[in-house]
Amino acid sequence: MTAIKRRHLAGLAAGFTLAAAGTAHAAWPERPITLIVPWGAGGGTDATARIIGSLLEKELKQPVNVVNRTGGSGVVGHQAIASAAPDGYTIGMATVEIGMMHWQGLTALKGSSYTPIALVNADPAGLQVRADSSYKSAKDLVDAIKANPGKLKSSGTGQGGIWHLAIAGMLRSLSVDPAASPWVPSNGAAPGLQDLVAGGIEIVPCSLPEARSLIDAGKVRSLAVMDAKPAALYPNVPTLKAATGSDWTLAAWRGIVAPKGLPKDVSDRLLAALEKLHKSAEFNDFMKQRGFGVTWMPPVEFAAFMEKSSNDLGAVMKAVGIVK
Amino acid sequence: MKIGDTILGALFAFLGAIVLWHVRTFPVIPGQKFGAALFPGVIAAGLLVCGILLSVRGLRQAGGGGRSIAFDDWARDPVVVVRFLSVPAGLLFYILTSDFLGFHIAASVTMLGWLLIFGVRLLPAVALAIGFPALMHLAFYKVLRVPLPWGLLEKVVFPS
Amino acid sequence: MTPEILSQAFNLVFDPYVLWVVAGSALFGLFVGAIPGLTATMATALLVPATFFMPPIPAIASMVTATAMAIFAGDIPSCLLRMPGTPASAAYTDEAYALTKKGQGELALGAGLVFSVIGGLFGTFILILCAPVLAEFALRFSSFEYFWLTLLGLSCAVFIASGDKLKGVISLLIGLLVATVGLDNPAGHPRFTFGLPELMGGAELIPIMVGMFAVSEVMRSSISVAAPLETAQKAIGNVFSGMWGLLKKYPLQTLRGSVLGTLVGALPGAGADIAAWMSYAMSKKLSKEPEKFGTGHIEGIVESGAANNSALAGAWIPAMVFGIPGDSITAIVIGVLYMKNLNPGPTLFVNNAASVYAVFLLFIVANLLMLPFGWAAIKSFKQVLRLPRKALLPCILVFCILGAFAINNSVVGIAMMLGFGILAWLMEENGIPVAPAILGMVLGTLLEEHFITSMIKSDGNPLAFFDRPISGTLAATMILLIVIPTLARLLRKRPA
Repeated sequence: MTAIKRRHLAGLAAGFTLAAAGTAHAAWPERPITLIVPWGAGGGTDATARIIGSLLEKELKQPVNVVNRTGGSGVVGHQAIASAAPDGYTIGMATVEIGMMHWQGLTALKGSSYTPIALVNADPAGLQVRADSSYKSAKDLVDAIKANPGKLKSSGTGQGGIWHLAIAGMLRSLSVDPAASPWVPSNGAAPGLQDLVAGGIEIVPCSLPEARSLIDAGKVRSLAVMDAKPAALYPNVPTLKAATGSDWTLAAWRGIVAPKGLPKDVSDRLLAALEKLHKSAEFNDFMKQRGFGVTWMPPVEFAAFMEKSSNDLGAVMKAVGIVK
Repeated sequence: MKIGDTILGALFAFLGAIVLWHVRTFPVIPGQKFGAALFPGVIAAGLLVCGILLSVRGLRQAGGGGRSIAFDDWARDPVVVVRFLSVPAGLLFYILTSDFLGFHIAASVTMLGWLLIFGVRLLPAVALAIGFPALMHLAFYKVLRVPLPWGLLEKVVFPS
Repeated sequence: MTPEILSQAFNLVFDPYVLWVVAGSALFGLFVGAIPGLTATMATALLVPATFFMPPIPAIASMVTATAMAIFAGDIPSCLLRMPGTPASAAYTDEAYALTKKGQGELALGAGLVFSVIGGLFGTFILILCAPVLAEFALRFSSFEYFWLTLLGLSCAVFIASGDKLKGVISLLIGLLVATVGLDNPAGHPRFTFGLPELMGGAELIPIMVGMFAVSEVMRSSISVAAPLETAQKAIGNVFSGMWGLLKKYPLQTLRGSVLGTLVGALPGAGADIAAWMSYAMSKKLSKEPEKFGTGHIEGIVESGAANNSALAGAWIPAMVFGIPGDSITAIVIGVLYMKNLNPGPTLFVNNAASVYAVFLLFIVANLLMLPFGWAAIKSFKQVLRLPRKALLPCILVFCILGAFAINNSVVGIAMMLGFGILAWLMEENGIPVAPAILGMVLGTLLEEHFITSMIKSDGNPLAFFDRPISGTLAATMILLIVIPTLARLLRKRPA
């Protein structure tokens, strides 16, 4: 009897504290939340944001509307996230480009212009060639680039985009002039890969999930992955370090951020919800199906990571001549 | 508003010339001989040539009609002019105020203005100006999840 | 295809839950397509979260049905209000609206519906019969080939512009110039942005289209609000009457539109909108009565209406065989295929034959369902024309505002719409056609991208444009079709 009563009372007490906590802090969220994506519908960032949005919606019991604010290589969307009111009702998905755009003078925004919440995903760059090409390893390829500067062209994103920096940084780390493999700008990885298969170019240094369908179709071969360890998607593809000895790594990452000045209680509540969904089977299944890498970094680490990412990329951009 | 071909052509040629002048500052792609200026440059040159051709054709037109700017008959009726100008003016009003007022108020006010200017009687105009945006709210905000701004109504709908 | 696989596929599709999803998505697709500013791509994106929690076949069913309905539904407002519901309808918006003004709205809407169904079914059969072969062909297209294809598309402007050719070219140049705005160009340099971050994203096509077609039309109509809208006088009768006659009169046009649509759709990077423009131009070029085009002539609607829906099925060819999206819709679909463990690739046809045939069946079901659903949509949408013009115009304007806003959730879209609405009004007042400008905006970015990338790839050697087999063929077609006839015309004029 007493045991039951005590448990009952303890439950009541816990209920009261929760209720009290609820009234002390505004009961965020009490209306729909907008999740801004700086990239178009159909891409990997959009897909990741949409699964997070729908799981967050279940977790927070409020609609989470995923909104694509595209254009300007991500400038428009990142700007929209930064200039929203820091009330927790507009959050966004920042991508690796936030550490690149400010070097080019396109915007003043950097990672520190936001309240970081959590890093959720990172996909390292791969090194893809046509399946019937004669390059069997990353070393073959680098030697060929070195021997015929200007002959082997690469593509997979816009001029100065993330994959452009991936190969430029790789070549630089191996003491080869980054201009030895000229960059052919393309509107994303898919057109670049198509051009690779069509024989227009020789190298596409995009991420493995982007190249996946053509690798599986036997049209494209991946020679290396620019990461510390092989990818779960293709464990047989060696790391760049193993293939060439270079320490260069680069990944396109995605994380949830909010406008600067988000109240601590809101950001804690959001972080808790994200952490929970990040551990959920639905999220992990989805990311596994799509072949996307799952990562987790809480706010402080995420902020430091953005800072480092920006500095690394800036160094390569200077070497390539995008930053003068 | 009918603008004569000579003036029209000169305008396009002028636009082409400005663009041509402006694109000189565009950088080339690193490692290439061409860059951002090539394509707009070619288009601007095309505009310049076509503009001059149009201008010359206007000059050759009989009666110097190419050099005039003429208004249609309706432009003499002030009521019609107000009606016509209310279309861009209303849109401008919505663009400037919708963030502050919110979709519902801004759309209702703009619509009421148009309805009254176009000659709808007050009562049906008010009903339509309130009813139609409400219907659109249902379709766009609720079903399609377009984040229409709440503006002033935010505090009313979500009191906290 | 063995009978067991086929019966498995039938069981997958004709399941009450799947059919329920199909009906729901059909309504959703019609609704989204009929609203200017909301595209078929957007309908697909909005469906993605719903598909997270569905089994594979209903998930795909929802997308196939919604997009097919949306592309057709785009014809409805374009015909009745001169407001293309999706960019795929823009090519023949003026033609359809002219028909409506002549009191033949039911003919235009009926043709849009029936020939959408025929084109969609044709594209589906090509998808079933020769997906692997066509996909291999499409994969051989590199930037050189795309450059010629885009140039062919642009030369369409010469055909579609009726009347003053010089003013048509100027209009095209304006469109091309607008397409250069923003950061998304091969050099990655922000052009003509005046320092505004909003303009870095470039000129968004949809608000511009709504402005140039619909807002300019409202401005013109506002001059005489008392006069009833022409369409209001004549009731829209049976939308299906006369369709059999049209099919008998234009069998070749129907086939041509469907073939071209499927091919253009199968090419990655070119979708339903470009297919519609090209086949409308081809229809006019090869017509026995090209002078009637633009004055409310059904022939072009038959051909391009079939083309844009067949392009939809065509886009699935490279998507299913190689996971390369044929258009922006299949880009989303590929993600969903992965999520549902139907990884695209040649092996999909071997390992998952039943699912593949279920997808084919879904295409057929969705296209056939378009007949009753489309009929109902036309019937209900035309009710808006019952409103007196003075009450209708403000409603259209609010509709435009929402459409221009929804594409990027920003008032910048509405401002674009207003600016281009005024520009289009001025252009049409002075005999400058609007359609070539829109074509220029659709193709300008592609043309530049493919030209610059080709030049980089060939180290600046222009001969590379003629080197490759398909590229050389396209170049020859271009020269035969455009350059020689133009030169011949000029030479004939000289002596006279």
